Amino acid sequence: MNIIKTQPKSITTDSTKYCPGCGHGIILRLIGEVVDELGIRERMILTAPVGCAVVLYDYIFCDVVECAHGRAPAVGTAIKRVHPDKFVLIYQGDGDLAAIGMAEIIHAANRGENMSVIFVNNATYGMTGGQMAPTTLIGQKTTTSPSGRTVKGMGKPIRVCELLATLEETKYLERTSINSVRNINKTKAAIRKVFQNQLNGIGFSMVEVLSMCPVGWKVPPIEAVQFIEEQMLNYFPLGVYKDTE
Amino acid sequence: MAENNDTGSDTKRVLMKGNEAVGEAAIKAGCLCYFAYPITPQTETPEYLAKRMEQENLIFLQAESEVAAINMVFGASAAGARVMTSSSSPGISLKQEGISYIAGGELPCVIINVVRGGPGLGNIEAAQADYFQSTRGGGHGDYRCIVLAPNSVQECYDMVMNAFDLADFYRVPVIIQSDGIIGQLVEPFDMHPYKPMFEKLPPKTWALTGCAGRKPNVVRTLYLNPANGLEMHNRKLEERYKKIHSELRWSETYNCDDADIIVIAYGATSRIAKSAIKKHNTNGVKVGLFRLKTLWPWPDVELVEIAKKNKDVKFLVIEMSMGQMLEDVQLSLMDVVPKKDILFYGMGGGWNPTPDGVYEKISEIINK
Amino acid sequence: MSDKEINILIAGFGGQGVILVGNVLAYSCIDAGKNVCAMASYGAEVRGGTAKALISISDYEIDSPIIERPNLAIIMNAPSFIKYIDTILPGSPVIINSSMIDMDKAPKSKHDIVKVDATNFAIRMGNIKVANIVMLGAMIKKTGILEPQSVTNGMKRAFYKGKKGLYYINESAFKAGYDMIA
Repeated sequence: MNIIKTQPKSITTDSTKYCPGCGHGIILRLIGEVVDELGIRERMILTAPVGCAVVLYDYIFCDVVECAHGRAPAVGTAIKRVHPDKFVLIYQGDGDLAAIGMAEIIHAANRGENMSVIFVNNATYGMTGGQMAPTTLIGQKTTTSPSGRTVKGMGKPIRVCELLATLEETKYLERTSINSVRNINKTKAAIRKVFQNQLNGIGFSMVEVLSMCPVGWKVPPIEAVQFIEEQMLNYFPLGVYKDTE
Repeated sequence: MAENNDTGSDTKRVLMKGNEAVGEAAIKAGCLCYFAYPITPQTETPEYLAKRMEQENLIFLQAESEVAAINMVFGASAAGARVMTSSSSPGISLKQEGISYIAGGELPCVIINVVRGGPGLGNIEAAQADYFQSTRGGGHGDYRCIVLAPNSVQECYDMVMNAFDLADFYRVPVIIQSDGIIGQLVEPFDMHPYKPMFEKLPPKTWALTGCAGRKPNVVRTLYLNPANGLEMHNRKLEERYKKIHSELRWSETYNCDDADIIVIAYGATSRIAKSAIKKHNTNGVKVGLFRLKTLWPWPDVELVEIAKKNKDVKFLVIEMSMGQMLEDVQLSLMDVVPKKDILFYGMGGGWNPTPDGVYEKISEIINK
Repeated sequence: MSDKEINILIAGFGGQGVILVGNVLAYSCIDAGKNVCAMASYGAEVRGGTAKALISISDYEIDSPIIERPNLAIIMNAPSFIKYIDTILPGSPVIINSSMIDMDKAPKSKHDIVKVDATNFAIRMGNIKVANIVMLGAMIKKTGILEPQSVTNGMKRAFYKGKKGLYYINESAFKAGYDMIA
C-alpha cells in the first residue's frame, strides 16, 4: 500500500471540537501541510484569537499565545519585534479582526509588520452562536439581525481585503474560499504565499478565507457550501488584491 | 525637562523629571521593549524613551491606542522580554483588559500610572483616585498586581528597577503608582547602575521562542474546564498572592514612637504631610508619619504593630481622593483601633492638600 | 536667607526661558551641594502661553514639593505679575523685568521690588532670549542664595548639550545682570 497523504506532523489531533461542516478544520489542515512543507514548526509562534479557533493550541504543535478579542495583531507585532527571526502567524475570525479588532489590524498593516495573517470570514459570530458580524451579508438572518441585515442602521458588510489594500505598506492580500476542492487548493497556495513572504522579509501579508459555518447559519453543511457559492462570492469576489512583488 | 548624559563615575548625580527617571531606570534594568500612547501628565516618559531607546537600539513603539499598547506588552512579555508601558488614569482604564490577560497568563511586566484627576476625562492635575483600581486588580477576574508608590524622583528610578525584578520573580504585573506631582517633579538623584534585587531570577522556560528542542509553550488565558482548570489556576494565583503578601510589604515610619497622631499617606501627599508634621514636631506636638511604599500588598501587619504600641493613638489618612486607601486602613485596624479614631482628610478633583492645610487639620484633631 | 527653605517662583511668557532658569538653578544647587526640587506648569496650562516654575532650595531635606507661598520671585512679564504677585509672601524680594512690566501701572504690593531692564539689555547684547539669565544674575546678587561660581557651573551643565556659544552669551548675560545690582 502506498501512502499518498498523512496527517501533517505539526497537527496534534485527529479530531477537533469544530462542528460538522465547519471550515476551520480544513484551514487547520492546510496550515499544517504548509508548515510541514516549509519546515517552520519549531520557529513558529501562533496567536490564537477569541472565537471558534480559540483552542488552536490544542491542535497545532507549536508555541501559542492566547490573545484577547481582536488584539492578536498588537500581540503579534510585539512578538515579531522581540523575535524577528521567528515566524509569527496571526489567525483571526471576522468578529475578531473586522469588528472589535479593526484598529489593531489596520495599524499593524499600516506599519507593515512582517507577519502572516489568516483571516477566516464566515459572515457570523460562530463561537457565541450565530450573531451578526461586520461581514454578515445584507438580508442574512442571524440571532441579532432576526429579520435579516439591513443597510439602514447596520451598514454594509466590510470588505477587508479591499480596505487593507488602500494601505501602502501591505504587501500581499488575497481572498480565497474553501467551498470546492479547486478553491481549497488555491487557498493552500495563498497560505503558502503569505507564509513565504514573511520568511523572505517581504512584509505584511494576509489571506482572507471565505469559510462555512453551517451551525451558525442554521443550514445543513451542503447548503453552507452553496451559500458561499451563491451569496458570499458575489459580495466578496475572490482574487489577489495586492501583490507588490 | 532637563536631562544629563554626563559620563564619568558609576553613580551620577543628575537632574530629571520623575517621568524621565522612570524611563532611564527601565533602560538600565534591561527593558527591551516599551509600548505606549501619549497622555498628560506622563508624556515625558514616551518622549524620553523614544530618544533613548533609539540610541540604545531597543524597541520603542508608539501604539495606535492604550489597548494596543498593553496588548503589545502582553506579546513582548510572552516572548520573554522585559517590557514596560506607561500612561495616566484614563489610559490605564483602557488597559485593564490587557492587564487582566497578563495576570491570567502569569506574565511579568511593568506598568506606570501617573495618576490624574477623574472620573471621566477628569483633569490633568495630580490625584490618587486610582487606588481602588490598582490595588484590587483593576480588570475582570480574581487577580492582583504589585503596586509600588514612589514619592521622589530617586524612588521613581529605584522602584522601576525593583519592579522589573519583582515582576520576573513572582510572574505578576507590577504597577508604579506615580501621580501628576511626582511625575512632573524635577529633583537631583543618584543615577546608579542597575542593582538586581535577587541573586538569581527563575529562567523564563515558559517564554514563546519557537519550540525547537522542547515541547511547545502555551501562554494560556482560557481554562474552559471549571473544576480542574480555572479553579486550580485561581488557587495557584491565590497562593502566589499570599506569598507576595508575606514577603513584600514596604513602608516607612517617621517619628511614630509614642506619637499621639499618626498620619498615613503615600506618594506626593506623604511629602506634603511630612512638612506639616515637622512643623508640629518643632512645637512639641507628637505627630508621626506612616508612609506606604507598597500599596499592594498593603503593610497591614506593620500598621497594626504601631497601633498596638501607641496607646490611644489617632490616625489621620490623607489622600488626593475622596477616601479609598482609608478603607484599607479601617480594615487593617478594625480589631485594634475604634473606627472613630481613624480620621480622613482628602480632596478629589485633582486638587492637592497643602502643608498648611494638613497642619491645620492636625491642629483641629489635637484641640478637640 | 541661607538657613531656611527658599521657595522661588519664576513666571513669564512661554519662550522667555522660565523653565530654563529653573533648570540652571537646579543644576547650580547640585554644584553647591544643596537640596533642590522643581515643578513647572504643564499640559493645558502652558498651551495658553504663560509658563511658571517653582523651585525649592534648602540645606535640609525638602519635604513638600508643593509651594504655597514663594518667598522669592523672578517675574518676566506684566500678566504674570498681576497673576502671581499676591501669592508671594509680603516683604520678599521680587525681581521684575522692567522692560515688560510698567510698575507705574502695576498693582501696588508690599514686596521688595527690584527692577531689571532685562529684555532691553538682552536685545542690546544681541540675543533677546538671554533676558532670563540677566534676571537670574540680578537675583543671585540681590539675595546671595548661591555663589556666582555655582551658577556658572550650573549653566555649563544646563547648556552641556547645546552649542558652546550659547553658554558664553549666557555667562555674559549672567555677569551683566549680577553687576546691575549694587
